[in-house]
Amino acid sequence: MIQARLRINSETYDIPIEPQETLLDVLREKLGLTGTKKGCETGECGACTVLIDGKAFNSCLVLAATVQGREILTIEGIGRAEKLHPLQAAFIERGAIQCGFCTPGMIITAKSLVDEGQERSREEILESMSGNLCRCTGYIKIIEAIMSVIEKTK
Amino acid sequence: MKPFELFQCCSCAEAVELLSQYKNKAKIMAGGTALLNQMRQKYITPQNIIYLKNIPELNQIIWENDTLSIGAASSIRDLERNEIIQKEFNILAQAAHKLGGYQTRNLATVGGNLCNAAPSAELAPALLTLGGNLEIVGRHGKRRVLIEEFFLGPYRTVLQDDEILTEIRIPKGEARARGTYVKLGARNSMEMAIVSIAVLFALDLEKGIFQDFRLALGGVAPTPIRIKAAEEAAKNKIPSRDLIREIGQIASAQAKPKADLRASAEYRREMVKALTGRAITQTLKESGYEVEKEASH
Amino acid sequence: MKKQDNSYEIGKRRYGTDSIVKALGCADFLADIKLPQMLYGKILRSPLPHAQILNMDTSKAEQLPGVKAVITAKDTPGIRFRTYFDVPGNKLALENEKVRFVGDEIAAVAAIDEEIALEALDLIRVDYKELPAVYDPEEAMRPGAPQIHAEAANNISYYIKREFGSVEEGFKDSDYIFENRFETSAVSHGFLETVGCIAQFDLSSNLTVWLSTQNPFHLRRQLAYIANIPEARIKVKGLHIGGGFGGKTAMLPLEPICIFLARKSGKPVKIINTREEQLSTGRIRYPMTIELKTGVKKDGRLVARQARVITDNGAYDNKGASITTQGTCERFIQLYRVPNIQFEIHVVFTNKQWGDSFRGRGAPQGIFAIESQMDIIAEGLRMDPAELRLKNVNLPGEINPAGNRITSCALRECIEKVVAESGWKEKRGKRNNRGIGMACVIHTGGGAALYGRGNFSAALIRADQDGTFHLITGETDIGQGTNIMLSQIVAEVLRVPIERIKVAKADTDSMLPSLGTWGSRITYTAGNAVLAAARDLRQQLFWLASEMLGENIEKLDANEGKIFVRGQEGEKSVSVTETISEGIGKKGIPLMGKGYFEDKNVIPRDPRTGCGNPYPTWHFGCQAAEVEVDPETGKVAIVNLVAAHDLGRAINPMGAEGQIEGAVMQGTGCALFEELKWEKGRIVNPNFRDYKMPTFSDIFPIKTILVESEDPDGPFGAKGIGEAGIVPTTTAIVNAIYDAVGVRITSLPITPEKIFSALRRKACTQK
Repeated sequence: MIQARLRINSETYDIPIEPQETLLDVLREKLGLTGTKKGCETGECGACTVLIDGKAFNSCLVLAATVQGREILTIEGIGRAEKLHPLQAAFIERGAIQCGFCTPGMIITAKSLVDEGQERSREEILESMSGNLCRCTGYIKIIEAIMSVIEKTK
Repeated sequence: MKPFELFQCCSCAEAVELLSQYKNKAKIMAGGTALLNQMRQKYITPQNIIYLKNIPELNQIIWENDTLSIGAASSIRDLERNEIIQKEFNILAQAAHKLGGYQTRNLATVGGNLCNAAPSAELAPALLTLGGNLEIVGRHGKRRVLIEEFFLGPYRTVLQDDEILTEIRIPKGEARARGTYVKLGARNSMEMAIVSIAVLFALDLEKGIFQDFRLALGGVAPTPIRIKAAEEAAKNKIPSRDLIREIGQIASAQAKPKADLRASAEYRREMVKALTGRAITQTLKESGYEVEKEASH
Repeated sequence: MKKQDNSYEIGKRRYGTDSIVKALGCADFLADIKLPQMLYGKILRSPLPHAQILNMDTSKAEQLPGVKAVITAKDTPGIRFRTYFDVPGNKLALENEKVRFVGDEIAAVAAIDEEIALEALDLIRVDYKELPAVYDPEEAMRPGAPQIHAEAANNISYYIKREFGSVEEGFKDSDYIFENRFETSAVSHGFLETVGCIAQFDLSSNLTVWLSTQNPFHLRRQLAYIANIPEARIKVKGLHIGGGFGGKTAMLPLEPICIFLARKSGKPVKIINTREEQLSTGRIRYPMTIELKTGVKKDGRLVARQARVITDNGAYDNKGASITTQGTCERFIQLYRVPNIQFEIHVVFTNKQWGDSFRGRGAPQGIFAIESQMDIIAEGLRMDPAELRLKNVNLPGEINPAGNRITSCALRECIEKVVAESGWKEKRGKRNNRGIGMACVIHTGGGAALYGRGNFSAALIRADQDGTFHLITGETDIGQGTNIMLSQIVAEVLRVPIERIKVAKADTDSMLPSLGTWGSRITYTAGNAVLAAARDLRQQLFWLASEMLGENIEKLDANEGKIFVRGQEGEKSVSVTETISEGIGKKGIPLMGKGYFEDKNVIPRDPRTGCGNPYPTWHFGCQAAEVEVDPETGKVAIVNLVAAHDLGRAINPMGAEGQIEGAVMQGTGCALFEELKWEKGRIVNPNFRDYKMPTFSDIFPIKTILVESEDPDGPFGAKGIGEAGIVPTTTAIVNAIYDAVGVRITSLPITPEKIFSALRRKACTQK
């Protein structure tokens, strides 16, 4: 057991964790931050994507003990109903959400792309998003939503 | 996952010390993308995990004295985005870009990709063409091996129980060298290569001939392989359609593909032929060289 | 019915009612629920494809600290599952004598955490006597093949031969006869949320179950039967469902297993499939082999069609028989006019995973055969494939030889629109590695009176004094957006802003009876029920308003949240909210609109002839895909796709587009990548790396055309759209590949290697 200090969504959590616990399991099972989803546990679906120091990671492949002291951002930390993140608003308005299971991971990955501010073509965005699977939407409305936000931030 | 003891090392010396203490009960972890999956499947159940990602020198990419030194724990994304790599060793940036998804590239490391030693290891063909060599540190000191000598078989390398890969070094190559990395998978991304091909060469523009031609393949033999016979055949020759075809045929003959759930051996062999030619043609095109003209006589 | 041009809400682009909570990450899915004292369940599965269970020893597992319950077949009532038809099936929640596929459930453990539960599974000792296994249905039918179920001779679970008209006469009358064989692959629904269950008994033995299901009432009924608990004691809770596509309709073994663990341990138990379990032991689309023989006249008219279908049923019965009969074979009768039809079906047990419906419920398999062959016929007759199809389309009002009544039908218009929008005429026939191909679809547009349960839906709308309307149905929104669509119907009728409609998320104790989410049925059936309920409530509000305004009820109208006297909107009006207050607050009248729908057009199927009409209405569509084939690798790139779908009326065009786009990408996956593969009965690709679903990088422009044929019985003319989009996509791609390079792939999926090999063979034979 390790007494860990995790910074998540600008809050500090002091909790005991086991070395083998993934960040995903700590978020979901220990902290009740269930917005981050478990879709495959092999890093192939992106549903568990979180930002660590601004970079997108599959939290199912990150040991929680190794990210102490770093800034972790999950879907719960980016917007509220009264103040949606522009990506959340775009996903909602453009019908990019169906079952919604992939949505948190999608929004988080897209956020890292938007925040990076690097000039990217639509094709590059598609490539960068390809680690996030969606089975409902066919991705069309999701990419429209992401591109609309990127256009606005240009 | 079975419980284990986690050591987050601050130095290579510490890591080597722990490794020689726990030997085969321990596993090295940098990104962990492959390792955690193997552990979750209980294919391996290490009692100790020696975590390298926090060791500062393993995370550096340094360009100095005409040599690029890449710390083994550098992420794939670090390679992909590194300006020196993009400019001087572009084929490596191309290969890095083709590895997995965006999140995986943030997490997976160059050392992990090599040490996992999959036959289709994404970075290996590019590094083979670049003449990379690897620094290995063990209890008895450092040693250096050529990347060609690093892989022993599928998922097997020359690393001893107490050794870690610390650095990948690439010497500055011919300034005019250009390269292309081609990867074939069913989908357009998120793929393990059915076949991958790295071609790197410089053109002697005066004579219009291949100089220092390099070709390496992934996914078509027990390990990533360099095709020296094809390199010899190309050297100092004028690029022509016939020559390109010949190179493809040599490569295909040298490949030792196996069938798996992604493709048959025969298809892989054919793809080596077709895609080697494609990689060469594309590289020539980017070098401003039109093969068509040459082939017409 | 003429399209109303003064629509208030119908036709508006609306996002799902729960999109905001989903975007915020606070939608509650099954895995997110944690109950006090909850245990974690894990299932012990057979490592062998076919074996007798000789002995099982669970004592070591029981002694492991942290283990709270271990169950085997001995701990269960031993009742076999009923099939979806409610007839006796053959699966036990936990098998006791034999295992029939790798993954068959034999024991289960509940422990304080997952790791302990997994460790306990390793401690259960099972002695097997391995039996010879069979994986190919045609081999399984041969004499001497291993017998999987004692009662199924030659492993045939179901056999039927049906004939409408006379194929013998029909073939005599034909100028040309075409015969082809087609094979479809085993594909997974691939929903991002795997299935699972949480079961909790309270102190008075009432059971609450949380499920990821499309079908709460069906599940309640089946669970009651298997667990031997009265239905009234079971409550199935409604949750957000992370995709279903047909794979969350029937009961799964893990659900009763979870209940048995909860009963034995006396604590709530949660079981969630891992992705590996989902892919290697979950339900799949039934793979089929279809031999199709079709007779045509010189002018392209279809005269006779004979089909022989072998369905790989897997190890246990579920919907193999119904899907092959109605889902697949009836398409041979329904898509085009064919006067003489015969089909013969064998549904065959093999030692593999068993199936379920998957979006389109057998139609993608049947349409693959029909629409591939239509192109073969067109080529044989030197006709444009679009023209051949147009020559044979159904027309509204027709009754086909099987007794199916066509209500609204805009198939002709769908084909014409696709031809016009896709550049069909200019692009076709170039054979320059770029090609275009089409395929059509017929699918039910409103569920069906199958499974002996009729076809109905019910709705209740409660008005609250703050002006909110609570819509209660029994239907489940699995992400496809039915809740917002139904809300739009309420808002349309009551003429109140859409934000004032709330859809209740309920459980089987408080929901209204329902058949569940399947068969593209909700728009049509629940839409009609909600429409009736909204009209009922509108009448009650108008009655109150007429008293308040002192005007005859006939003179009243409503708009923008107000009820007013027609022509005096400014002066003589009351707000809907005031009206509700008047009713509830002053007069003490609770305001509730009640409505239901039952399909009165059902003609029960004659069990002898197979004639009948269980379907209320039909959805039609046509898609054209343009592809580019890399002849050196065989890799296919889809350039674009045009999809025209007759959905009667688009209540929510954005939702309808989303259904089509998502379905098209699923169909693309089924065409190009998706296939579960077995080696000696073991799935070799139970992960998303090797079970390849399309990613962002594989998308292409999709142009959706919503064709509004205005169904006479649909709510505002609407019909269902949920499934149809997936049905033609695969075949449109197959036909486009043929147009591009002249090779026809007849077994799915179309891997680059298959195209490459076919191109090689073609080059060889041409030499």
